[in-house]
Amino acid sequence: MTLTCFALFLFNRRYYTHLFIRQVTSRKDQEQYWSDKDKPYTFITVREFAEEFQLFHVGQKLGDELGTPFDTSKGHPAALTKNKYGVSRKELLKACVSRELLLMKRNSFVYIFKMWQVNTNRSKKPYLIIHRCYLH
Amino acid sequence: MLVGPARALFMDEISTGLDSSTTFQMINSLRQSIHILNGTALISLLQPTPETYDLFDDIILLSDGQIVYQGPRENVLEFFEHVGFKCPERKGVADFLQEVLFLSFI
Repeated sequence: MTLTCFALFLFNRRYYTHLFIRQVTSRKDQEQYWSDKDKPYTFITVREFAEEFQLFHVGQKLGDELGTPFDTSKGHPAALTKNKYGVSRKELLKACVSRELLLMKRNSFVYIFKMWQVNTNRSKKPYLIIHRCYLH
Repeated sequence: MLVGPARALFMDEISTGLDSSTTFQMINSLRQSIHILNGTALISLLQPTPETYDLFDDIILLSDGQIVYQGPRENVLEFFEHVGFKCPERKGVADFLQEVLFLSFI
């Protein structure tokens, strides 16, 4: 019992180390690194950092790089598809028809039997040929 | 174990539960294979040691959902001095960044 508690404690301590670190580093830590002692220190938020980065030369270079759209004529022709489907509509129709035919062929006995039933019953009692069948 | 001809690797928390020396060796071998194969590895690390930090070519700093810095490692301190924060000598750059941005990882 004691051992499991201790193990759990160890596990938790390891697992939550980064959360613990987050608590330790706080807004107050920023001030000690302020370089220009002549200028008064104000807390700089993450948003201000991000905006400043856009003006910095590395950020500007990155912005320029991302700002110019990629010339698709230089890329590999197979890299991007321009069609919505991989096969044409005609091919899709063909595939669907052949699937239906295959399913009908598989259930051919039922079809033939029903045709025979309809044909034999037609001459005798027309009101009897009401069928409900689920083929597939 | 890495299997297959992957050109881009995305790794998260690969050092959890490891000691700093093993982490360093892992990142070092990754760096060498990435450089030889001309690939890309994007690795997020918790509290890297200065030695491990120095193995990276580029740094992406994220905090509060914003990209604070993305670019070469050599220019990070230049950027922070531009904003007004100076890293003292004999201070780990990773710790410095962490404390200035009060973030928990790099």
